[in-house]
Amino acid sequence: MDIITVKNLHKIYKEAEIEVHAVRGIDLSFKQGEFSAIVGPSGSGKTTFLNLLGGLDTASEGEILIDGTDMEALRGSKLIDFRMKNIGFVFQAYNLIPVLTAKENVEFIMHLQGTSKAERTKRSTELLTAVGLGERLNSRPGKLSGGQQQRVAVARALASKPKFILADEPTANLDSESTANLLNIMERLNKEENITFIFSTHDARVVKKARRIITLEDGKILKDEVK
Amino acid sequence: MNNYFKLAWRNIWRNRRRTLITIASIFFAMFFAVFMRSYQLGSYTNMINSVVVAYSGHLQIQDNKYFKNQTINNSLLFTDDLRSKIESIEEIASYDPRIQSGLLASSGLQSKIGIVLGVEPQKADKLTNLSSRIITIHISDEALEKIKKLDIPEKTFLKIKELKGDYYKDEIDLGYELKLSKDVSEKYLPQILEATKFEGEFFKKDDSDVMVAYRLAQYLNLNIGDSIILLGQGYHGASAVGKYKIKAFLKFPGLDFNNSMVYMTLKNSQELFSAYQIADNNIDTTFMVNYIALNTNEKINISGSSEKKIRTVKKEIENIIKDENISVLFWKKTNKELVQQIDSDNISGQMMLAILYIIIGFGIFGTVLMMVAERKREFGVMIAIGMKKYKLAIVVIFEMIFMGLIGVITGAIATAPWIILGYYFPARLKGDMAKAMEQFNIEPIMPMEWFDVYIINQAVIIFVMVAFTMIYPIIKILFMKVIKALKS
Ligand SMILES: Nc1ncnc2c1ncn2[C@@H]1O[C@H](COP(=O)(O)OP(=O)(O)O)[C@@H](O)[C@H]1O
Ligand SMILES: [Mg+2]
Repeated sequence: MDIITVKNLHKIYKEAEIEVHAVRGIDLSFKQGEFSAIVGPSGSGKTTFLNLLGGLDTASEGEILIDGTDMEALRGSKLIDFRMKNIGFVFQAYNLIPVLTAKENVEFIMHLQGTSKAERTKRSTELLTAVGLGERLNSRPGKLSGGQQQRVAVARALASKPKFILADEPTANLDSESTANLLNIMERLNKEENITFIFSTHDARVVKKARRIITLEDGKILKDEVK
Repeated sequence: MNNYFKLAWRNIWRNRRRTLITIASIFFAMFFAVFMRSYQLGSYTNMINSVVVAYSGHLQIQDNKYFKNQTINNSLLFTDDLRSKIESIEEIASYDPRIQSGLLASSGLQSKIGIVLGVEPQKADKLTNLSSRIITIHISDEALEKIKKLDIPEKTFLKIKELKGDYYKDEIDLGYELKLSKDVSEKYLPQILEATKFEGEFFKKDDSDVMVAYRLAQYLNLNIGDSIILLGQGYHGASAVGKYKIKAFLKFPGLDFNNSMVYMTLKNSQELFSAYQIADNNIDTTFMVNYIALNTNEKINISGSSEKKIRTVKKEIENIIKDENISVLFWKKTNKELVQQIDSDNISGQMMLAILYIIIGFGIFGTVLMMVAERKREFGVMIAIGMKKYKLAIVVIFEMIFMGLIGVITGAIATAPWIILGYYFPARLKGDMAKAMEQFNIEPIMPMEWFDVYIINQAVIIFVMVAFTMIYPIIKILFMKVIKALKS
C-alpha cells in the first residue's frame, strides 16, 4: 500500500521578483518499508522536495497525500501535530536540543505526545541501544561525536513511531566510518522493523545501499530505479 | 509543565554570559529602583512624621467653619459627650484637644508675635511627644566658666565654646553639633552635661505656668521662672491678657516653631481666650477648643496602605459623632503644602526611575535579541519535529521569568542591608539643606523607608518591563517560518 502519493508537485520560490522553479511537476509514490534515496546534483531540488514531503514547506501546485491525508489541508498547529505523529526528521546538521541529554532528546517528542514516563524510558533506552548508544544515554550532544549525534537523531526520529523518516543528506557531515555505521543501523531498522526511510544524498556509498534510487535534475525526476 | 521548566532552566544556563548580563541588568534595575524609592519615600515619611504625626495629627476634628477661617470664634464645643465618643473609638491611639491662636508676647520693652497652643499636657505628650522637646542643656557663660575649670582638653573646650549661648534638648541633640570622639565623650561628657545642665519641667495637668520655645524666650530675654505677658483677642471680641511664669524652654525641629510657640494647659488657654459657654442656669460651663488633633493606631507613610485605613477611621468617627457642624479632616487636607511638596518631588523621582527603567529595559531587550538570533535554528527544529509554537513560547517565557525572578529577588535582598541601615541610622543633613527642612519643621534627616509595598511595586514594574521584552521572542516564535529558521 502507498503511504505517500505525490501528484504533479511544483514549488516556485519567489524572491525579489526572481522566480526559482525548484520542483517542476513530480509524480511519485512511496510504499511502506521502502529504503529510498533521492539523488541528484546540488540545486536539483532534493531538499525542496523533502521539505514538501515533510510538510515543512508548502507546494505551489500539486498535492501530497500521506496515508490519505491531504497535506495542503493542514495548517498551523494541526500541521505541527501531524508532523509529530507521522513524520520523523533527520537533519544534515543533527540539530539535537543542546541542553538535553541523548535520552532526553529521544524522549522529547514522546513528552509532547504525552507518553507515560515508564514507556518513555523503556522506548528511549531501547532506541538508543539499537543505534549503539546504550552507554551514552546521559550525555549531552556537545559531548558526542558527529556520528553519535546523528544516531541520536535517528533514534529521536523513531521515538514517535512515525510512518516514515525523512533524512536530508544525513551523512554529509560524517566521516566514512560513521557514515557506514549510520547506514547499517538505518538498514537494519528498515529490515527488522520495516521502517520506511527516504533520504537524499550525493554520496555514492550511500546510494549503493538504497533499494530504490530516484534521480532528480532541475526539479524533475530523471530516473526512478528499483534494485 | 515540568518538562518546560526543565528545558527553560537549562536553557538559561547554556549561555551563561548572556544570562548573567540579563540577570545583572534586572538586579541593577531592582536594586537602584528600590534604593532610590526607599530614600525618597523615607524622606516623605520623615516629613510626615515631623509634621503630621508630631504635630497636626492623622486627623483633626473641627467645627465646619474653622478650616476656612481659623479664629477662636470658630471654635468647637468640647462637650463631655464628644470626649467620651472619641475615647470610645479603639482605633484612636491618642488625641489632643487644642486652642491655637496668635497673639503678642512681650516682656519689658520687647514684644513679638507668638502662637499660643493650649493643650492637655498628658494628651499632647502622648500625641506629639512634647516632653522630649524640653531643653535640658544650655551652653551659658557660667557653664563655660565651669567647664574651663574642668581638666578638659583645650581643643574640646574650644569646640564647646563655639556653641556659646545655644540650647539643646539632650545629649543626643548636643552630640549632633559637638561630635566628640568616643574617648573624649566617655571621659568628659558626664562632666560637661553636669556643667551645662538647664532646668526645665514639663507642665502638669492644671499647671498655670507655660512652656516657651527657646528662641522666643531668647528674643524676649526671658529665663526660667520669669514671666511672659500675652496680649490678644479672645472669643467674640473679649480681650485676652495674661501673665504667665515660664516653666521650661522647648526646642522644635523648625525655626517657625522655635520663634513663636507658647504652650499652656488647655484650661489656661480657654480662660485666656474666654473660650467657653456658660449655660442658661449660669452654672454649667462648656469649654471650647479650636480643634482636636488625633493619631490613629496606623503608622502613616505615603507608600503603604495607611491612607485607606486612616480614612476608614475617619468615617467611623464621623458616624459616631454624627454632627453636621463638625467635620473630620484627613491630614492631607490639613497639611496641603506638605502634600504638594511631596507630590511634586515624588513625580520628579518617578520620572528618574522611568528613565532608569527604559535604559535597562533596552539593555535587556538587547540580550533578548541576541538570544533569539542565536537560537532561531533550534526553534525551527523544535517546531519541525512537532513542538507547537505556543509551547515553545511558554518555554521562552519561563526562561525570562526565571531570569526576572533571580534578578528581582537578589536585587531586593541586596537592598535589605541598606534599608535596615538607613532606617535605623539615617543620614543627618547639614547646611542649607538642613535649614530648608527646618523651615518646614522637618527633622533634617534622610532615613530609608522600611520594607513596604513599594518594593513589590518595583518588582511588578520590572516584571512588566521584562514582559515587554518577551513580546519580541513570542512574536518571532509564533510567526516563525520553519524552513527559514532551519536554514539560518
Ligand atoms: N528559500 C529559497 N529561496 C529561493 N530559492 C531557493 C530557496 N531554497 C532553494 N532554492 C533554490 O531552489 C533550487 C533547489 O534547491 P535545493 O532544493 O536546495 O536543491 P538541493 O537540495 O538538491 O541542493 C536551487 O536553485 C536553490 O537555489
Ligand atoms: Mg540540499
